[in-house]
Amino acid sequence: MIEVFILLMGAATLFAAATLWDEDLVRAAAALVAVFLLSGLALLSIGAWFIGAMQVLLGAGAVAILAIYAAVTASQRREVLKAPEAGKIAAVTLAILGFSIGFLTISTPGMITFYSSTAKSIAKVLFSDLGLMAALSVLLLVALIASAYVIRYVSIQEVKEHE
Amino acid sequence: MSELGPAIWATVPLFVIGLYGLVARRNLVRIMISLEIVGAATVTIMGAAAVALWKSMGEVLGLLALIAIGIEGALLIATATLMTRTLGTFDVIVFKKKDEGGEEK
Repeated sequence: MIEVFILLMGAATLFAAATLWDEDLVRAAAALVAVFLLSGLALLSIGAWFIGAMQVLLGAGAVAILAIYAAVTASQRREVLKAPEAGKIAAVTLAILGFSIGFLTISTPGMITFYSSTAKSIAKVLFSDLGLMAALSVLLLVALIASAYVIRYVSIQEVKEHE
Repeated sequence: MSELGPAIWATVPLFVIGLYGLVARRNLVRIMISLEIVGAATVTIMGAAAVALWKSMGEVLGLLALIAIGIEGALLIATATLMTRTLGTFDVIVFKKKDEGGEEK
């Protein structure tokens, strides 16, 4: 199981490098979908299916698609990058480093478990142990929406003044 | 070495690439993508911690972190869309110079 996890995370590292060193912004955003998918699958492979599924649904299904939208609507899709070859070499080196150190430390005792998420225990932690944090996160969400509204209002005013 | 050793080592390169993109790129969409990569690495480490310790706390904290990075991603994309419509670029340096009223080099 952990071998599959390390392999999937190594592949996710390569796609993450592609998001930085690919000149085409749309391809970079599409690589982000792969990063979320692979890291979600890696979590599924070790039994954390709840957070793995959420990573695929929220990350690959929502956030990365937003990034693709921004890249597609951009006026300049291609970007001139400095030393792209050096970046690719650094990315491959990092991925190999992750693979090798991951496999070298695999003999650590106690890592291989047969864990499986249960909705009951997750609900218990979320709504009783971390109830205050959940409430605070809702408060943060409201504050963020309010700040987005303020930014939009100020920006519209500035655009009107500019015109 | 802790029980999380292999999982952390396999995730650290992803985290490092995200951090590098955050400090080295000027394009706002790429900065947002880097931030999401850092977030994905963090959530993966939390999920692995939940497995290693047999506790759901890691998964719940990972879920809250995932929601937070989703919100900040949406806000950054909104800002980037606004930038490209008003300035025609995603370059944060150009944005800063225009904001200060200076000339673009």
